[in-house]
Amino acid sequence: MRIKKYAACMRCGFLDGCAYRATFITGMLANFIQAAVLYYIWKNIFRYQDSVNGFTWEIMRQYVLISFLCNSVFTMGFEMTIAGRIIEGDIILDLLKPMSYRIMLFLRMLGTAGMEFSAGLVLVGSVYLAANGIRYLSLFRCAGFLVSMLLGVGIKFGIQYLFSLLCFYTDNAYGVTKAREVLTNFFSGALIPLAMFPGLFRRLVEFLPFQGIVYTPCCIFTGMFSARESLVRMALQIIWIGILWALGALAGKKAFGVISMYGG
Amino acid sequence: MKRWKRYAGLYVQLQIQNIRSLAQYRADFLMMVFFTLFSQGCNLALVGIIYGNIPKVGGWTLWEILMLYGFLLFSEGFVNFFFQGAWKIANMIHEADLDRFLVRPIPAGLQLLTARIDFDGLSKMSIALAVLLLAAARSRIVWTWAEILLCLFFLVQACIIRVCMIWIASCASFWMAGRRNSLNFFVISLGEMAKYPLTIYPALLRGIFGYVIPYAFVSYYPVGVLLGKEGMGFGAACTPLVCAGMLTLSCLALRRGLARYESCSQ
Repeated sequence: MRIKKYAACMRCGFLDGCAYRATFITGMLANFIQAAVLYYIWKNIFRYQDSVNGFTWEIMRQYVLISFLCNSVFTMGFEMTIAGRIIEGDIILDLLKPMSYRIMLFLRMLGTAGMEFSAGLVLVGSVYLAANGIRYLSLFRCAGFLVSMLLGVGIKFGIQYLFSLLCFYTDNAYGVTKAREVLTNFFSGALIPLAMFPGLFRRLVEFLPFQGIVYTPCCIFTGMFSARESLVRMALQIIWIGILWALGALAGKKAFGVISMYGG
Repeated sequence: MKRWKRYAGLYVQLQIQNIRSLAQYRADFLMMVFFTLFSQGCNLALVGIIYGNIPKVGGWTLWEILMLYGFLLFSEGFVNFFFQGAWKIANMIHEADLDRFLVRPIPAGLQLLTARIDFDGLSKMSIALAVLLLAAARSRIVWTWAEILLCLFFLVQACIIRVCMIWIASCASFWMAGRRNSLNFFVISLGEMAKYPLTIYPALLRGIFGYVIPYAFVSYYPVGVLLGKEGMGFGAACTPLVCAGMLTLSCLALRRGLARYESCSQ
């Protein structure tokens, strides 16, 4: 019975994603332009030197594309939608449903992410094959990448959920979304491999959850991590999902208490 | 002449109205300032990290790249603060808000331009100015009065071209159905590419975002000439022409668009 309920939520998210294609496509386009810029910057850089901080052009050209794929899965976020529902008062209906609010959000997001991942995969897959061919692919690493990316989606959800709770306190949903996007982009390694960060930053990033979203799956895919390190990193991702889930539960309890002032 | 003076006066009044309306969102304004500082900080850090690992990109040093960055960010802030209304056209057409403008004895274009204000533009412009000043001081340019005037001249043009880009992209909504118009967002996103020298991109991309969407004239050529790079003279000399062309196109787009506009309200 429960499965059926959950499947309905996921289907709903999937259809949502299909209905709001334009939003998704614009988001992906912006990311894609960013990725293209980085691709050509690195290409230019590697014309003058063979390796930068342990990265060669072979690894970098994979990294840029794969990080784009990880990053384009669920970038738009649900902060704006939730803010809209809070202002209109519809949020009450969500909270009253006989199902955990957070699980419902998560399943819907998973559905949307599924749609976005398949669209992204077709795009990135073809560009990747055109740029790199199949010479770097390995079955084992691809499987590891998929698992790690899924875990990354979990972390992403945890972070977005925390940020969306901020909308209970402020009307500036756009600002919240932007801040989350910038923070995630920068610290997840979507723009630049975290290994290139200068010393202190590098250590700071290790203690943040963001690296699990892009950097970990990308490094697993490109073979920067050994098999053993990959497993350790995945375990770290799972731990972060747990921490974020707990934080979300705590913060959610507080945020839902504020809601009365909006009415419905 | 008298007519333009009247328009300028109206513009100021409409903007003052906008500023008043925003006074009620003071906390949000402060938050936005914080977010902007933060996100621009991240952008600058990205450039810094890239240059921490290598000395040059496409033959340009860190401070030279920061000049490109300053030009782009300043023009973006300028649009946000002075002409943010250009973003709202799509929505106004869809909601038939435009009808309200058409019956007033003020040009619809002027009203559209002032339909919205974004204070975020102020913080962007200040950051951009700081970056520009820093980069200018560190670069090899010898700053005479002529150079300073040239720099300001280019900066103004960059702003005008940028407004026109968004304006034209937004006016495309007159010809498209639907509530959203992603074109203007696309145009803005492409600005990301103009933060680095044009030469690092392959010819096709360069053609599209350098010349079809004339980003090359927003930052690349002006900064190139200021820095005394080779082969920039002709491009830079063309900027006023491009600027005039964009202005004409914008006027045309609005006029043609309004001519075929059909209200969708009851």
